[in-house]
Amino acid sequence: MKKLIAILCIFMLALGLVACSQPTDTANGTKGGSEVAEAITIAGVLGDVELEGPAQRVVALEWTYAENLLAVGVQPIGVTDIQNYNNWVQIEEKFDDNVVDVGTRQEPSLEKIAELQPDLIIAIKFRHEAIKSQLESIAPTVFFDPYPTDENFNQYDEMESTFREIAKAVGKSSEAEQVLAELEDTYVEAKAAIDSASLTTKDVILTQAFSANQAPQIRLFTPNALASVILEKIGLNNVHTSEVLEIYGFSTVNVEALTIYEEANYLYVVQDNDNIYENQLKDNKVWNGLEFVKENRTFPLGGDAWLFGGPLSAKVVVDRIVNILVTN
Amino acid sequence: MDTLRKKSLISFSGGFLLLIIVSLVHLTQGQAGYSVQQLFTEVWIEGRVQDIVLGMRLPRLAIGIIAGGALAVAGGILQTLTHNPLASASTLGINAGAFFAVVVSMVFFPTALGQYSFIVAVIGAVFATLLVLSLAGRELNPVRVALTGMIISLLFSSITGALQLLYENETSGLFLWGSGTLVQLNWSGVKFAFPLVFIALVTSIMSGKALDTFSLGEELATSLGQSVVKVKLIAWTLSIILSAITVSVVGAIGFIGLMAPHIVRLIGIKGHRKLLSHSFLWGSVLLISADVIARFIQPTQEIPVGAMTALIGGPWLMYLAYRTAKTQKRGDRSLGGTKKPISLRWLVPVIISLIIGAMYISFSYNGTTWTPVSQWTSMIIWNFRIPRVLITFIIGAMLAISGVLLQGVLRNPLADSSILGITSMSGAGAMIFLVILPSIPVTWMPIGAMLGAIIAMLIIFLTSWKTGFQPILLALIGISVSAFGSAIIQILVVKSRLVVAAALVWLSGSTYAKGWNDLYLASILFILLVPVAIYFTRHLNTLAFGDEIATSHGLNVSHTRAWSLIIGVVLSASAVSIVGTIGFIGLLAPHIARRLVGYFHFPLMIVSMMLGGLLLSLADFIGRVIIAPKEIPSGLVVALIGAPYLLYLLRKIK
Repeated sequence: MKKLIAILCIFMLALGLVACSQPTDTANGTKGGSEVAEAITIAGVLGDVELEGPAQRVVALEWTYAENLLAVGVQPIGVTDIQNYNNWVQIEEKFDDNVVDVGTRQEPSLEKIAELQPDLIIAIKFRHEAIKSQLESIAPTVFFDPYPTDENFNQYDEMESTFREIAKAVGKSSEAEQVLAELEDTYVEAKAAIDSASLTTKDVILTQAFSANQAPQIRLFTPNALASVILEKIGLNNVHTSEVLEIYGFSTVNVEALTIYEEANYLYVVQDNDNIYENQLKDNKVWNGLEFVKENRTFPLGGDAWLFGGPLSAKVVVDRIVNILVTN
Repeated sequence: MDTLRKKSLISFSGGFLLLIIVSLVHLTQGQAGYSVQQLFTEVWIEGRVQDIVLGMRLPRLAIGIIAGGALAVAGGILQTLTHNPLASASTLGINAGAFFAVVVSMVFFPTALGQYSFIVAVIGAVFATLLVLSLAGRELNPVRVALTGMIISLLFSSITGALQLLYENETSGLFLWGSGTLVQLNWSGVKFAFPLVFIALVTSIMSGKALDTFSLGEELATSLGQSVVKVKLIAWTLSIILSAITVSVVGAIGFIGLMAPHIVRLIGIKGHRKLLSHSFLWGSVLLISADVIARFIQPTQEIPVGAMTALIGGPWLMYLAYRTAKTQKRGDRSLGGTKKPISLRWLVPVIISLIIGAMYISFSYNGTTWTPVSQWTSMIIWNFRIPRVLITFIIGAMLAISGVLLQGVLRNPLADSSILGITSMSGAGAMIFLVILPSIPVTWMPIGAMLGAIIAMLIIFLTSWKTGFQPILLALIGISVSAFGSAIIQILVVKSRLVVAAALVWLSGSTYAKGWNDLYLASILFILLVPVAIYFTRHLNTLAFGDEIATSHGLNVSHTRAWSLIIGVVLSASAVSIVGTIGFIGLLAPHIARRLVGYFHFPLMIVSMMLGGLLLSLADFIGRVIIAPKEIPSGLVVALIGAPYLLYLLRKIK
């Protein structure tokens, strides 16, 4: 018995020692021999990040930020869940083959990220705040937050400023301005095209739908949403408002709620394998009785129009909207 | 007989009146925002209002009435069948089984589900029932059945959780369904469910007399000339069909089957014909009321009605459990264990070498590359891998010790912090921090978890202090606390869609991204708590002989129970606050240990501790490397490895 207690004590002591001994070489520091470059400060929601020069090896932990890098012509060295990214985000620029998959967006592999020896990590607050210290031990990490609980928050402004900050971090500020300018041009052209298309109404609602328990669930975008601001920019008018603040930018409703907005045009995103309009709602009296259905004013934008992305996704959304509204 | 008729009249007319009132309120609720007057005047004329009322609101009401009634009747039958006031489709794991089958088919055979969801649900329900029956033993002891059902539910829901995480996009609509929703788009659900439920209801009422005889006890029933087997077969079939129908049209809704028959019994209705028909009525009232309340709380968004019924039903079950436990004899079940223990002198070195082996592999391998020992001090391994592996081991050990203590106190071989509701209340506490106070940094979440665990412990303390921590009562109160905690989690999960990804990973328990700081914290807790636990092993040995013998040996039984319980709970809450709700280890490790070293608590605790650490380390390793660089949360891996062993175990325990 006593022997055992002794063994146990030694065991625990050993554990304690292991726990308390710190390695000597944790702080790797910055890589030596860096050329003299102008220091860069990027503003993140969890504090500013100082870089000695433009970041060369960037790991993006959220799809939107990877998309932003592609938009200014920079290939990230690591991105999360590339396979699913390809299913959901459709923009012209693609990742190179040597871009490394670093695991899921929720639990990216720290070891994989560290192996890549990045000089900047871009993270999103609501997923990665819990692993802030670990990420920062690998490389400077900047956090962005598109969904704060602030009533006056504008998701579109956040998208633009985040895009600018990311571009600044990789030394591509002028390219970023060019992308944004092109996007503004796209808006102007789209607005002109829509103005000349003589639509019956410019009032719209934008939805994303999926089924739960065979019944359709419809996400109805609110004016604070990124996607809604894009609508306003091309001269359309989102008529849905919500009494409560929807921080993610949409209310989830069923078909009944659409009756309030039947005069508006109906823009929608739905996945092909869960198309509630062709399955569940096909013979539904209430749906078929809605004015926009009767008058053929429902417009599909395609399942891969990413409504939560950066400038390039925004451009895709605008192109799709113009395409379908004007051709009809 | 006259008073019975009077009571029957009161129950029937009262229930009917209530049903009409809540139904009318139910019909006025909806997102189109019509006023009551507008509804009343325009519903008679053809047009929009009529379409909405006839095409959406009435089907929703109808399916609610049918489903609530069906669940209540199923519950009533099951209670008679198992002679168990705590039986219902949800407490027996039948709902969980049906839902599991639906999720599996949604992931792997999505096209088949549309047409055959009922058959899929029936298969799942039958499977779960057979599991519970074969594992709960012949005599169908109420507590044992409830515990078995609970564990089966736990098992199914962890596998369902794993599938939802791995197939996030395919199962996105399942959250709502998972906890039950009455949303209807047309009459197809009603058209499908009504005839089946009607036939099952009529058959049940017709079998009422036979059930009356059956409830006298199987021996007496046989001597009265009843074919007991036939009655059983019919009754099981009826209750399974009723549960499977409801799961396939409205999802897994719990507690209606528990509450409705109980209300009817409280009113004083006797005889199964009346009992079942009145239960149907009251089940409908309950479910429609729950739906009214859910939509009243959050008019613009669907809160699953099943979470609502669980929120009311959790405390109700607690009350029922309290009453049932008072009438029960004290269960003096031995914990079992081998009679020929292996000497620690041999066992400890063997396990230690296994641990060293596991550590060596864990330190060296990440799923793609092998790192030699000389490289272990490199930044990547030293900062990210070594602390994580060590903390995993410590947490596993803590959970195992907590399991040994709780099982020793409860003298129940199936006790574990998840059964006592500590895990789910910790989860609920953490979720509340996450959702209600989003401005608070995520690093504070463990405090929420601790608070939740403390509340669970307080409830358990307050309700069982006077009865000297009677084992049965403790376990049942725990189940109810657990149901209540899960209901809170469900409501919060639905209320906050995007945070779900974060919550789901955390709630299923993850050893992801643990660093040196977490390791210090875990080590301190370990060093503080474990010696106390080991000190109590002597008393636990005495306690195992039963309360009377223990008292005659001069042991303060309540005192010992209270302290062991506190240490056990604090250990598991510490573990939850560091890595989230990892279950099963506290069940698995002590059981394997008992088969090796017998039932003396000192060797048992030492071996369990080492095995717990070893098990969790292995689970972490598998979750980390199998689809690297993606990860499967180790809590889910534990559940997936633990499930087969647990099933084997359930069979073995007599």
